[in-house]
Amino acid sequence: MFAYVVRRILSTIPLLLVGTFIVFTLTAISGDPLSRLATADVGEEAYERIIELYGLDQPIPIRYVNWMSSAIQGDMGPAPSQGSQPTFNIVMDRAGNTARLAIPAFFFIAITAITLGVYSAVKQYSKLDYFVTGFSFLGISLPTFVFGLLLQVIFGLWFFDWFGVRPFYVLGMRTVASHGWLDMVRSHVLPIVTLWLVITASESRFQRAAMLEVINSDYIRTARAKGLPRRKVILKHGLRNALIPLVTIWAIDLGLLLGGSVVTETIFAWPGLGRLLLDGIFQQDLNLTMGVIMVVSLLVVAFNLLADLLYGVLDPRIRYE
Amino acid sequence: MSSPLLSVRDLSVAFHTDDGVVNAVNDISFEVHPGETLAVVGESGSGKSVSAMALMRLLPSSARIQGTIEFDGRDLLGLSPRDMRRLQGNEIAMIFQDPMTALNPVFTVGNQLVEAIRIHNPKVSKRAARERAASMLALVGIPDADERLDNYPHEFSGGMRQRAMIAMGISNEPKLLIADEPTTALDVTIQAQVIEVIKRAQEATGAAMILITHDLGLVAGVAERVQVMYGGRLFETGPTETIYYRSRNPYTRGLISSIPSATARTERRLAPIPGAPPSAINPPKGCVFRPRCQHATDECFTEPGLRRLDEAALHQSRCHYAEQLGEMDTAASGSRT
Ligand SMILES: Nc1ncnc2c1ncn2[C@@H]1O[C@H](COP(=O)(O)OP(=O)(O)OP(=O)(O)O)[C@@H](O)[C@H]1O
Ligand SMILES: [Mg+2]
Repeated sequence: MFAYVVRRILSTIPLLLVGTFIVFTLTAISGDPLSRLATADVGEEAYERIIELYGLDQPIPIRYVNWMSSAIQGDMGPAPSQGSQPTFNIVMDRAGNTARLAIPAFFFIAITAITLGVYSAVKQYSKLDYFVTGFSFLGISLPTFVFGLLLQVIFGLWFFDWFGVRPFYVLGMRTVASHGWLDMVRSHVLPIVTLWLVITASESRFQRAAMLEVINSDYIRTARAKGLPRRKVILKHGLRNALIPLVTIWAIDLGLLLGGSVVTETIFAWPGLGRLLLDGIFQQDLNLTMGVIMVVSLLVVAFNLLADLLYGVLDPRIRYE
Repeated sequence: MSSPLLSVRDLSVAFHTDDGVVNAVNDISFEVHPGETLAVVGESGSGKSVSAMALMRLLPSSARIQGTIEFDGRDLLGLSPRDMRRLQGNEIAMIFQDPMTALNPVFTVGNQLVEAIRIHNPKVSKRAARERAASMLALVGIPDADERLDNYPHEFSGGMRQRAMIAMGISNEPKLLIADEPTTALDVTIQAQVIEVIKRAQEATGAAMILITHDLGLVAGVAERVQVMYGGRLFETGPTETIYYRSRNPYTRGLISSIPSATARTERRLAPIPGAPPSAINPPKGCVFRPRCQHATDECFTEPGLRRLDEAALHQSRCHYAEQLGEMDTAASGSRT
């Protein structure tokens, strides 16, 4: 088991290197980071200094190696688009803001996806099943921003027109420290609900499919033939098996959620990783872009590993050597 | 004769599917007496499993069940689900065809055995239930039973899994054990052993048994009575001896002559019945076996009833010519001794 984990971690290193190199190259060649300086009158000398400071005159592979060797020591260089603050600090700060949405959203997603998936599988072709199926297809086919904007319109405009109150904030993040508990909650609700709805839609489909397969299996028939109550048949013998394939999907989703949702964060003006990545790209801030990419890749890789390990815990037929 | 433990009257099961109504079981009636073994024999699709699942009330809700099933003085089809659960796995237990998939892969064999015991005996401690589970495993011939309880099903071979299923089936000393093709999925070399184990388990608990199989050869020496099914209908029923040597039904005779036999002259070819079993949606008109029957005449376009062939109605056959069929081909009847 331990050897397996070490081997898995080692094997992800080349993956990360290749991935980050590709992103680094693409970002570096996609535009001139100095183009914005050209409009300001900074003079030849300042130009040279910046080129020197950021090593912009070096070939891309060399720049990549330089960047990577300091990045693995936690130094991702300054972020010019953020007043040259250390990239690492900015990324960590924004990662925390993203986690404020990701963790509660994940929690709600897991609970509702399991419940809806199990119910609609057990009551296949019932009204509830059709309702859940309809909701899922809606959630899968509508883009995220539709949900986000809809929630903003409902709670930001209509609700105020009808009742004269705005129960939730539709833009920006408020913390306990800056605004107190109530405002903190009011600013977090809508972006969390957006993520919740959109991801639950697809996740409950997976859960339903996994549960349906399990319900029709022989060992469920054996469990019923034992005289077990229906609830125990479904929750002990059924769900326990249906969760196995879903753990992988969950782990990947949690990794992605923690990596930040570009769309949701943009709609709700949320200072998270997703928006930071967008800023980095639009402002041609290579250090910032790379910093976010690095963190997101690490998250995805780590949660994939976690998924594999959980798989082994849940399924006794799998042994890691 | 003692009063029957199980009495099935005019049982019919139909499934409403997109392709039409599947009449899987049609008007079958039979009895099982305490402690006796009844073999149910027939080709694939003849309705053996469906009728067994109807007894266990394990059919999907798409099944339309008619008739009455009386078990130990209770009307099974009329029981509430809760009362039925008290019987399932307790007074009536079932062993399924495929032991590879019948056990839950994520729980240990011991967990699943203990669960079966404790669901019907909540007062039994975990410890005592485990001890009983171990003695059950030992009874069905699994060595080191106590340690084996902590194994997962995938650590058992197919034969051992079926033994574990048998142990589970008898763990609450059922009055009726239904074994649905318990050896079909197993290696030929261990089939006889597993049948042996089932017999031993049955003797240990005194349970009556319905042994479902498509292999008439397996039945000799195990069952007192045989019931032959075809196309969801009862085709012939009688004491095992009678069925083997004095069958009065062309379909049964076909089944008997397709039994491979070590004692038969080697040049005698195995004679499988030509043709395929009837469709359960569009059965042939008249006798359902008519299209495959070498004795068929115009009269067979009307469906024959079950005809009694002796005073006590122990031997019955569904054939217009039951009384007229000649003595059985000696090559066929002589092959089983
Ligand atoms: N859930 C169901 N829905 C529709 N038809 C079904 C269902 N279950 C069984 N049947 C049909 O009922 C008929 C009898 O099936 P059954 O499983 O009882 O056969 P069997 O005699 O046990 O055969 P085998 O030897 O293959 O196990 C078949 O035609 C089958 O297709
Ligand atoms: Mg069957």
